[in-house]
Amino acid sequence: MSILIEISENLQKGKAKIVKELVQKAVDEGIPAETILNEGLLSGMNVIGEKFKNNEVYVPEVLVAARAMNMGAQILKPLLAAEGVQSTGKVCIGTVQGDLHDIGKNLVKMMMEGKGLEVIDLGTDVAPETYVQTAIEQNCQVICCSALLTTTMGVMADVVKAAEAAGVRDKVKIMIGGAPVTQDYCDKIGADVYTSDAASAADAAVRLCNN
Amino acid sequence: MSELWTPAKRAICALNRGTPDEVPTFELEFQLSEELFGYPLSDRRFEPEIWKTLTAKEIERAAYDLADKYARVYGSGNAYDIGGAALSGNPELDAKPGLDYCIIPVYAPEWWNPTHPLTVAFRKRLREHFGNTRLFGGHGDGTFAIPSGSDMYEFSYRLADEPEEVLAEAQRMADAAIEANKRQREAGMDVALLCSDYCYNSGPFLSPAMFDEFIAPFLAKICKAGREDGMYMIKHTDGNIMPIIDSLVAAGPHALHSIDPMAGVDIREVKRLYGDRVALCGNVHCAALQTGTDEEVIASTEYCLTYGKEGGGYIFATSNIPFKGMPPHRYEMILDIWKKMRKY
Repeated sequence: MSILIEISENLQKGKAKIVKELVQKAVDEGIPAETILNEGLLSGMNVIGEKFKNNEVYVPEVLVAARAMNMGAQILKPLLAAEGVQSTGKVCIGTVQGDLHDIGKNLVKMMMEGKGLEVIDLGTDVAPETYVQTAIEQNCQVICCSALLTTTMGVMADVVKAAEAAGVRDKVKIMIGGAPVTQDYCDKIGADVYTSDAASAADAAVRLCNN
Repeated sequence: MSELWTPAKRAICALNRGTPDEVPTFELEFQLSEELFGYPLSDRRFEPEIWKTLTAKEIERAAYDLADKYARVYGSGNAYDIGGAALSGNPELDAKPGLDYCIIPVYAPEWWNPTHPLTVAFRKRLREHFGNTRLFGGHGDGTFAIPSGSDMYEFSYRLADEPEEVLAEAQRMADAAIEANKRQREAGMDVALLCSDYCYNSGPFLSPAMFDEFIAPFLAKICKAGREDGMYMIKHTDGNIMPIIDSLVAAGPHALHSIDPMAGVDIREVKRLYGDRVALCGNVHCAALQTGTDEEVIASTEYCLTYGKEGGGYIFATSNIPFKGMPPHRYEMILDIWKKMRKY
């Protein structure tokens, strides 16, 4: 079995220690870091992401797989930088102002990282201006807003307005999600993308970054 | 002679999957008391740093005052019916009838402690108001809920790395809940509200297999112990329960609460598949109540009262709670529909 397939399969099983060892072995064998990342780690996370979408695996399995990916990625990071490999894209994510729920936000972050995106986590209770300022300063292509409460989802509209006021609306895409959020609401406030689950959010963010 | 129904009798009948004279109602918590009745269902004297300094007489007074507010808000009469003890100062609000809940959600401090003076006085006053016409309910869960924040990572890693320790912790939590529920029962509580959330809108946090290993057996123990003590067990969880509903029902609660329409759970289908084994509570669409149109609210309420009510075993409720920020008139709207449709 190819070592890259072994990395992918052990990652899917959440075997962090083994993944780390295999990644090191692959590096020692002279396989380029970018190949190990794409065909080993991200390939494994893609399988997990698809299975998650289809309810074949659940959140704990995804988190354990992500832990394994991070262990492997730690070894690759300096090598990727040396090879000049860029991340798939850059996203800033947070739960909107007034809302302290972060389960959904964390899931989306994890799935995005599994797709090779660089994710800046702004935490919870994030003011509209903070999203926009971060996107400007960090060159994020996507702002990602989460809300669990019907009482706080209105802040998402303020994020759209803040991006317009800062003159960056045409440079940054705005994604929204969370239990009470709908496609209708997305359309109503002028956000770019609504997704109903974490895996779809990661797919959508990759698409937005590639466009 | 026809049976004399009370809200408590209706609740007991529904929880046993029977058909009372009319559908009863309750909520796990009610956060619109200030908006609809003129004051919150809380009292600064119950903050630990204050009530611990109170004399026995002052504790009794505080307990009586809160119990009077509970009676006004959760009973069927208006503030004047409580003898003026629960007036808000706003005649319009004071003239409104109470919510007429069949199960009163009790969150007074020390309620779990059957011998604490505060509990004794509060219970005594509530019984003076209600007699045995209502059931009293308090939190009684002891199973793993969806962890939040960084706890979710740690918990997931522990499930993978040290499952035996997680199982041991699950057992300890269940034992503690069983003991706490026994004490609540001694303090006069009738219903254990088991409120650990297990599901997102998309499905459960744990896989069905993990749920069966780490949660279902312990939920079953808590339900069994509560039932043996004469309590009614209502299992609440938000989200899409369908992948784990067999296990939830098999754990033996009297009722499932939420039946979350925001997660696509259809009360008609749940009733068809499980109505002979478990009672149902809830299903009125909370997001519609908050941000939907009147037509959507009416449609959701009528759906619940058509298909939930059918064949008995249903307690009318929202799919979450009447939470702060929900337009109060919307909650009144669904109660009005309930009043029109509740008769069998």
